[in-house]
Amino acid sequence: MGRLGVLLLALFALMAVGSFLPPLIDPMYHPMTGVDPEITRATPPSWRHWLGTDFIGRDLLSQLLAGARVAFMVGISAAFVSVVIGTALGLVAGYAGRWTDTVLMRLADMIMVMPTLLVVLMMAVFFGQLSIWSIVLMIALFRWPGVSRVIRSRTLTLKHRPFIEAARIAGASHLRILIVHLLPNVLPLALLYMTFRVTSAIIIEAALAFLGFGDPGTVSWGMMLQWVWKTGHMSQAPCWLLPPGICISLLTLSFYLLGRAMDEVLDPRLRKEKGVG
Amino acid sequence: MTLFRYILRRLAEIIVIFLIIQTVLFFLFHLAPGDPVARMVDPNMAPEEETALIREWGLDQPLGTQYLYFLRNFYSGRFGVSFHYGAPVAEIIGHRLPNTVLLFTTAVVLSALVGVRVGKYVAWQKHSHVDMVVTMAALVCHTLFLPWIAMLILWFFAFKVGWFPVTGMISPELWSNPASGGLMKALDVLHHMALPLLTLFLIHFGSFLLVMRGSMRDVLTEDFIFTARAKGLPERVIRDRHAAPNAALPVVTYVGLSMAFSINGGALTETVFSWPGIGRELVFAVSNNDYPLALGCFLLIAWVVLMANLIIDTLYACLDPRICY
Amino acid sequence: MNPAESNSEHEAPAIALDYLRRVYRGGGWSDLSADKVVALNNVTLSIPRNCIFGLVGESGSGKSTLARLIVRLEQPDRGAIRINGEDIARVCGRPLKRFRRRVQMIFQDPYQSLNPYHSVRRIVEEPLVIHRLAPGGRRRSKIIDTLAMVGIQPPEAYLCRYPHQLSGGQRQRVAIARAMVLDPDILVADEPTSMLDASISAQIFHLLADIQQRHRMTLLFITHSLAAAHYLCDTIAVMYRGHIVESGPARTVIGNPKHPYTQALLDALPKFGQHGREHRFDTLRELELAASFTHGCIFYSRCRRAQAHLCAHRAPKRISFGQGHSAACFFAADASNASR
Ligand SMILES: Nc1ncnc2c1ncn2[C@@H]1O[C@H](COP(=O)(O)OP(=O)(O)O)[C@@H](O)[C@H]1O
Ligand code: SF4
Ligand SMILES: [Mg+2]
Repeated sequence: MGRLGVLLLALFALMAVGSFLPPLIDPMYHPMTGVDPEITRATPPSWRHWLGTDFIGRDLLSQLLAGARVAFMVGISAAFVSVVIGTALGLVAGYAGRWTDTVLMRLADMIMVMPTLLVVLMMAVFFGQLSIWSIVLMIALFRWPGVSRVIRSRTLTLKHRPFIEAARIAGASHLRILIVHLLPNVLPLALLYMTFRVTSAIIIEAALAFLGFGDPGTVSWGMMLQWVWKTGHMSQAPCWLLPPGICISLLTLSFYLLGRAMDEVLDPRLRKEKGVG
Repeated sequence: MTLFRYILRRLAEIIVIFLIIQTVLFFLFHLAPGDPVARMVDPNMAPEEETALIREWGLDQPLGTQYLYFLRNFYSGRFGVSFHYGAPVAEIIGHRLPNTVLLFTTAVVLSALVGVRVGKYVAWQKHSHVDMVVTMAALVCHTLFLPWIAMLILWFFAFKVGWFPVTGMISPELWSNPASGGLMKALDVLHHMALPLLTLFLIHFGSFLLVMRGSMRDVLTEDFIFTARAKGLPERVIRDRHAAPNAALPVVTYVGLSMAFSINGGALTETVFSWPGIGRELVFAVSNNDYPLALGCFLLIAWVVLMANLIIDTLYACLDPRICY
Repeated sequence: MNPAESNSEHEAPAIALDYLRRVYRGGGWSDLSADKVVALNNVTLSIPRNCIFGLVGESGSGKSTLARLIVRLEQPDRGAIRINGEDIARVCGRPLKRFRRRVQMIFQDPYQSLNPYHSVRRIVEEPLVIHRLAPGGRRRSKIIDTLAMVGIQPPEAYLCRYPHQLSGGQRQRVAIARAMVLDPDILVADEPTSMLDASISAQIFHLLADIQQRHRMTLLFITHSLAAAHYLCDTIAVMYRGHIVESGPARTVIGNPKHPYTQALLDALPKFGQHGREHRFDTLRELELAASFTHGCIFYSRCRRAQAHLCAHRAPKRISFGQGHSAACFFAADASNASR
């Protein structure tokens, strides 16, 4: 299972790297601005366009490749930021205890129950068109609570271990204990959660783009689906519909499989604390 | 602490959280770039209406006073006037809410019933082919990208074979015809609901199945199952009477945890199938810069989410004898 | 420094505890009436310099709590802890950090007391880094010397190992090295061998005794076994439910115990090659009395020698027998006579 996930991921990574290639071959293969001069409508696959073209004659394969790049970028950076925030807050909450813990965890509960997609939509109301990086930031800002809950409960079990107390007796400051002693112990868990966060970030970005609130300057898979939908090509061009959807679902699946495999390697008792969504 | 006191405490907490959410939204509303008055007042409004609205919301007052106006209006049921519909937000929400509740609860209940049952069954058939296939299928369902599967379903059932209507919730000609009876209308709604229901069902079913299967597996390793086996009880009794009730608890937790996730999914499904619910209305309002409507829909969703979590936690407390608050 | 002061400091005991009290409150902080555990009650003790001091008691008697207070992992609810004459019960900041250099501790469970993600080198180096000691090239040689001293041979081969690659005994040696690398004046060892095999335990005993000799420091050795204390310690104190019930030179206390609880502990020791004298003192009740511990002697409910009119109502004062030997029992003075 885990190996399948890694294999799929490698494939997607290859796609992301390959996305730089088509525009070099011919400017008409540019995913965003390249238009085939002879085509002005959606076409099925051909030798010229392996996956066909969209409604104004842009190449779908190069869009798909560019979408892989965006998905990785969004997924990994949003996951990274949210895991950094979640780990930092979880460590502090667990280690400090008392009211720091209470306040942070109440905040986490509050954010955790909110549907992130709709929250980011609300932000679009206030801030207008969101750029891809602000989308990444928003996803990160609203997806940390799951991580911090897990890291906190791990920290709670660690903080009374003798090796932490030995560090205190040796004179280590709180900051040093957090960074030098606790952090390495929760890092594998944080890494595991990063794989889950990658998935949810990709899905949220894709859904956002599908609803028409993506960054208009990037081609993402969600955006491709939106073009099918908005331009009314649903009934006419099913072959346009398949590739981006399959890619999103498979990428999600591969990160999920990877996470599950890592999960089993790590402490199996932690399975129950896994966040969802 | 008794359950009753626990519920009271949680209710108080929810009220505070809701106030915080409102406050954050209010300040975002006013501090975000752009003119806050323009966000509340429809540019196409008549001048006298406009002044009335400005007075009602205190838009010419200092920020603190506006905040109080905002709270007062909210708690007296005035959520503003939608730009797009030109009608009070409360009225629109009142129309949309039942549709969402109908679709969403049907889907969740149905998929929970089926998912839990099948999960229970396959957990018992550990490592058999059935288990493998079903689990893999559930995994795929769990990871499907919702708008995509919704569009596929729409394409196949509505466009390709044409069994189901493409959009909406009702057929206007049927409903405007005075001759059509209640049963006809109900069937019409069901006919429209089939595809969005199928979408939501597929998405939730896989997750319920996986959670139930996993938690059954955990339960199966526990002592009381061995005891039951040692007593010579039939496998079916062990499965349904001993293992399943214990394994159901994580499913309840899961419903709470995945609430946010399924509400996102609900909004997406409603949008794809043009189901006139709250989620689609929110997406719609955001696209049209219809601020009052967006705010109203969002606050309603937030409130529902918070209350649903309270209900789930209470349910959990009732089901699990080990927990005492 | 003026000579008189340094002189007086020289005379101060390594550790002096004054009416130390520590209460653990169960349940929430909001509920003050929640059940509380008095882990230590009015513990008064003086531990001289350059000796091995044994603290003996059954599990749950508060030994670890006492250790945690002395190394300042926790603070007492009441009382003073004087280390070399200086009260450290409530210090913080810079003085606390200075204190940390002088008092170190070894934990019971060597499997839990080393950070699994740190190499041996890093574990032993950590205190030096924190206190900015032995900078540059001297640091490595200091680490190697310390490892060699605790019997990790050859030290270089172990520098890059991780705790899971070490045996229990080796782990405990590394833990001792981590404590000794700061050259502390006081080392607290909380049941350092209770998780180890008997033969490894003996090696660790020897190591601790040897280190104490060579470094001329104070070793507070905590154990639940009178035999171990007898073997290793110069002076011992016996603890029961948060109270020191008897203390004095090891040979005197074990050879001529005065408190019924100490006597019960001695009875409980396995004796080889002795017949017929299984219970020399026989001070333990078969059935515990249900008694409240608010007023009377702490040992009352289990004491066979108890006299209800006296022991149930008043706590006995310590009675001294000279040479620092004392016991807290109304009948301590005639205890040995009674048993013969
Ligand atoms: N953190 C704590 N919270 C509550 N009670 C505690 C805590 N630590 C110790 N105790 C209680 O204090 C008493 C003394 O414990 P301890 O010092 O560990 O004894 P020992 O080390 O002699 O076995 C015990 O009754 C124990 O239950
Ligand atoms: S004072 Fe009384 S109860 Fe306490 S130990 Fe002595 S004889 Fe026993
Ligand atoms: Mg102990």
